[in-house]
Formats: sequence, structure tokens, C-alpha cells
Amino acid sequence: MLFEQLLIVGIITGSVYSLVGVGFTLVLGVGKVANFAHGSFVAVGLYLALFASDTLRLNAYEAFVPAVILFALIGVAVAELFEWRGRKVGEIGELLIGLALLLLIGGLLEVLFSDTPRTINGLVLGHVDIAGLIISGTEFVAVAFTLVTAVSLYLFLRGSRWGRALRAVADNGEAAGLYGVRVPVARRAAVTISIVVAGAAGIVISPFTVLTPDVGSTYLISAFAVVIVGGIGNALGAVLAGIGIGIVTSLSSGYLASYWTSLAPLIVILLVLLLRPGLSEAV
Amino acid sequence: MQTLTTGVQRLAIGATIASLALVATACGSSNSGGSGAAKTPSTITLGEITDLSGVASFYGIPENHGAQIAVDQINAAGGIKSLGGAKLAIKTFDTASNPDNGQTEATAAVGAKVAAVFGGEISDTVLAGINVTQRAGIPWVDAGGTANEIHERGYNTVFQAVHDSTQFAAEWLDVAQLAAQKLGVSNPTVAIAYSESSYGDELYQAWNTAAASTGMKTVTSFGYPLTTTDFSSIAARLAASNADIILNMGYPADGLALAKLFATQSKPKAKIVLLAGSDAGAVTGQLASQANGALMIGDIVPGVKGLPASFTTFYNDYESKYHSAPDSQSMSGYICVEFIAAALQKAKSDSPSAITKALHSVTLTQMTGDIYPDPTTLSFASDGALNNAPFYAAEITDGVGKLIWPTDVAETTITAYGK
Repeated sequence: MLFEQLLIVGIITGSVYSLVGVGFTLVLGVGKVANFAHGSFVAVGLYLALFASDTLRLNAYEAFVPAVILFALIGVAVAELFEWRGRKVGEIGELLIGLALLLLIGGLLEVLFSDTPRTINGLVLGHVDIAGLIISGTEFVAVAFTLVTAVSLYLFLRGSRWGRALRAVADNGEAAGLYGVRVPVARRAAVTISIVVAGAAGIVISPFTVLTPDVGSTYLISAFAVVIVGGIGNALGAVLAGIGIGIVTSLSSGYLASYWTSLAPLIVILLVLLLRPGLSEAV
Repeated sequence: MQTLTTGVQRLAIGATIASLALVATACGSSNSGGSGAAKTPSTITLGEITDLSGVASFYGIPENHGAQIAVDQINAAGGIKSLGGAKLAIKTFDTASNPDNGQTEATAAVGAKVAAVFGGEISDTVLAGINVTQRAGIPWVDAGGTANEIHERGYNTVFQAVHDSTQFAAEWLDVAQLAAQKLGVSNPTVAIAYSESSYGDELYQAWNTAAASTGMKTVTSFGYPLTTTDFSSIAARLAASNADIILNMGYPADGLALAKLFATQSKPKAKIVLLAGSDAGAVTGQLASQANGALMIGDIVPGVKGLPASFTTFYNDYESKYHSAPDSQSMSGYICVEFIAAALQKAKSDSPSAITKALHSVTLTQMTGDIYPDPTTLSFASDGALNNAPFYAAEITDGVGKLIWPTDVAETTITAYGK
């Protein structure tokens, strides 16, 4: 019974990792930006849901569409920042911008919401009892949202003209430019989409997550792990990697001593790096 | 030329003498605490080294607020009378929930020439800081760090105004045994999850030592990293253990996460759920009746049996100033300042060494600073540990924390978790 429960818990946790990783793989693969603030935008989504619940009396799903629009605007602004200032200074400049945003967002959340751990209650979508574990409807929604987002992104990158342009930029930006692809626009689009996905992830997981201002850094670490295992720019790979890492973490936490909880996923990452010759396998 | 040189020389000598006179005057009129100057200070500065930001600010901010209420009350009553009515002031040093900052902020406090230091919510932070204050001879009254090592280091300047790990474990063991007895559970089994920090490790070891003689059997126990944010698998593991008692020795966010998971995902069969690091007021504020049945640290509110008048005054002043009810850490901050004030009064001096000496022998009564209903007096043992440290446990009933320990102030009877 414990094994089944840990497996289910791992899938749910892993789907959260996947959701965060899907956006990160896009910004890394196409935008060519290691956005250290990516996890922070998940935290912004979480606290936006808290604000909507406490102040506007809206649940996460009612606040979803307005939040996505807001994140799109934020994404455009951040993308412009990376493109306008980051490119001038180079990769180091982009890293510094990401770090600055990470610190700024964390500090802002702490000032606005304090460090008190918070939960959001009230949204009830029913539940299912599986192997003695109660899976709430909100967790099912999060898993479904992950799959829909990953598949949509995959189909977009594969099947649409714009998606092919983004893939071209991911493979070789200079060559893509010579073929008429507006590379700066493509990069901006990748950063914007990644921030929208990160923020939306925060909204969707808010009903079952404990909020603290530094929760974003946890998601950043998991995003890196997902991208390394799943491949840069590979949306479906991010889903599989996230769920895999979630299951490994859950099982090691359930059966092994605590140091394995941190070590086990890292060993998996190391094995993947050793067995796979290249990191970048853009879709 | 010779005359000019002589004139310049005379000017230089005169300027030097004037400067020396000014410096001597300035030294003689110092008003800061800890100077030991013959002149009575008008203000005595106390340094509060605690977590005013970061995750531990959840405890650090109420501690600061409680301390400030004590300062306000003492100053309004005329200050430290044996020192000519000297007023108290608090200067804060934020360790930002990072133990690495303990030494840095303690150094800053020493540099600010505070008369005494109080505060601290993370044991590792206090342990780092007391090395600095001990060397400087400045007393530190610890408000929240529970590690035994804080008073076992042998530092004569350190006073632990809160239960240590041994006391804390013994208190929770008493609560567990009482709950088992009330619920008809004989030879109860325990499943333990503890945070891997100085606090959690030590509490776990202290529990094992105390429980060894009671026959209470631990069926599973495991630590989890301090940085854990996802408790899903931990909750599943605890719930699957089929133990009679589930015990978490963690931080406030840990207990909050587990309480939510036990209510929504991994329903334990255990009749008794102890969240040793969580505060009832904070958890019910987030989860309300979802936390029903869980036992955790209780808050004292008006109406509890045996409350001294000083508590009611403290409670009303706190609510009036901060628009929220005080919690256990607010009371701890208050007590720290009361101890230091009593020491200043007794020592008739604001020198750190005199305060340290006095702290070893002062006693707070319910008329002189002890705002707890139990115990009725507070004092330090020779090693700096607190004699009869206050401890209150509550059960969440209908979304509200009701005291169940000590039994003489209990507000409700213990019920099984999940009923």
C-alpha cells in the first residue's frame, strides 16, 4: 500500500516539476537564456492566487484567465529586458538579470505577504480514493494541465510555422536569421511563453501547496533537473523527466534515509548525463 | 622665520591640547549602555538578535513585539528605578533566518555597546552568536533556541529563557502519555518524522532517551532535510506506519504542511497526532477545522484558569499596539526583557558583568514579570537553563486551539484524531 501511495504522490509531485520544467526548457532551448528567476514566477503565480482568494474572493480557476493575461504582459516586459540589456552585455549579463529578478521577486513577496507559511483553502473539486490515498480534484487538474500544456507546446513547435521558426532559432540562430526568421522576436516569444507557463503553473498548484516567499528557489532547482534529464527544448521530454524525478524522490523519501531524498534524483541526473552523449535535443 | 616657526609651533601645541580636552570630555559623558561610567545612563540599550525576516520571522517578529510591550510597560512605570529611572530601548539585529548571520549580528551588537542581548529563534544562530557575546562579556537571554548545547557550553553569560530539548521532549512525552491514557491506548506505538537540524536532531535524541523507560515503542522514525517543502511522501509514510501516535519534530511550516496533508490526502489511522513545532493559533489561522484533532503548542488567551493580572495587561497592550493576539513567542520575548530589567534593578548598574551576575539570582513572580499561569515563578539554574520552563499544549477543536496541558489549566478533554 505504501509503495502505491508513494508512486501516486511521486506522479503528482513530478507533474508539478514537469510543468515548471516545460517553460524552462523553452526559455533555455530557444531563448538561450538561463533565467534564474523562472522559479520565482511560479511563486508569483502562487501568491497571485492567494491575493485573489483573500482579497477578491476568487478561487484559482476563476483567477486563471486574468492571471495568464497579466503574466503575458510581465513576460513581454521581462523578455524585453533580457533582449535589450542582456544581449548588450552578453551571457553574463543575462545571468545577472535573472539573479537580480530572483532576489527582487523574493524580496517583494516577503514584504507584501510576510514570511508566514500560507495555504489557500476553499476550493473543493471532490476527491478520489486510490490505494488509501485521497487524491483531490485540484491535483488531478494540475496533472491534466501539465499534460495539456506539454502536448500543446509540442504540437505548436512541431506543427506550426511559428513553432518551426522557434526550433530553427534553437538549432542555429544565425542561420535562421539568414533565412528570414526574426531571431530577436523569436527569443522574446520564448521568454514570454515560459513566464506565462510558470505563472500559470503557480496558479494551478496553489490549492494544494504551502506558500512561502522562497518556494520559487525549490522549483528552479527542479526545473534545472528536468531540463538536464529531459533535454533542452524538449517539452515531452520535460514531462517524462519531471514525473520520473518526482517518483524517484518520493520513493527514496518513503523508504530510505533522508540524505537519499536529495541524492537519489542527483544520481539519476548523473546517470543520464553519462549515458546520453549530448544535452541538447530540441524538438 | 624663526619667530613664525615658533608661532606655528605654539598654535599646533595649543590645538593639540584643546583636542585632547575635547576628547576627554566626550569620553566622560558617554550615555550608552555597558560603559560602566559613574554617571547614571538615561537610556539603556538592549540588543535583540533574532530573525525579523526569512521563514523564522514567523517566531522572531512576535518575539520582538512582546519584548517591545515589556519595554513600553517598564518605561511607563518609571524605568529602572535603581538607576535613576533609566529607560530601556531595543536595538534590533536581524539574522534573517540564516544561522551564518548569528556571529555577524552578535559582533554588530557588541560594537553597538548594548548592555545585554536577548532573542534568537534558531538554535544554530544562537550557538554562533554566543561565542561572540561570551568573549565580550555581554549576557544573552535566549528567547527561542531550544538546543541543550546553548546552556551546556558552560558560558556564564548565557541564559536560556525557554525550555531546552530535554525539557521539550519530556513535556511532549507527558502529553503523549496523557493522550494515550485518555483514549484507552495501552503500550502506544509511535511514528516520528524530525527535521534534520540541531533542533530536530537533538529533540529526537531527547525523546528517545525519555521514552526508553516508558515502554512506548517507536515503529518508524526518519529525518528529512531542513529544506524540505513537499511533505507528501513524508505524510504518506507516517500515515502508512499504523502507529498509535504520529509525532513531527519540525518547524512551523512543516507542521502546517503535514496537518493539511493528513486532512486532505494521507489520512492517518493514528489516534494521536503531535505537531511539536507548530503553534495552534498559526495553524488554525490557515487550516481552521481541517486541523481538528491535532495536538500542538498552545497559546494562552484570556479566560484560561489561573491567569495573573499581568497577563491580561500584557494581552490588552499587545492587541492594542499590534492588532493581533500574542502567541507563545511574544510571551517569550516579553519574559526576556523582564529578566534583564529585574537584573538591572538588582545590579544597580548597567555594566554587562553586573547584569550577568544579577541574572543568575533574579526571580520573576506573577507580580514582577511572570505572565504565565504556570509556573508562578521563573528563574535560571546555575548553568543558565530555565527552571520549570512554561509549556502549553493545545488540541484543535472546531478550528480553535484549546489547551489540554498543563492539566490544571486544560480547557477541553482530549479526543482521538479524525473523529
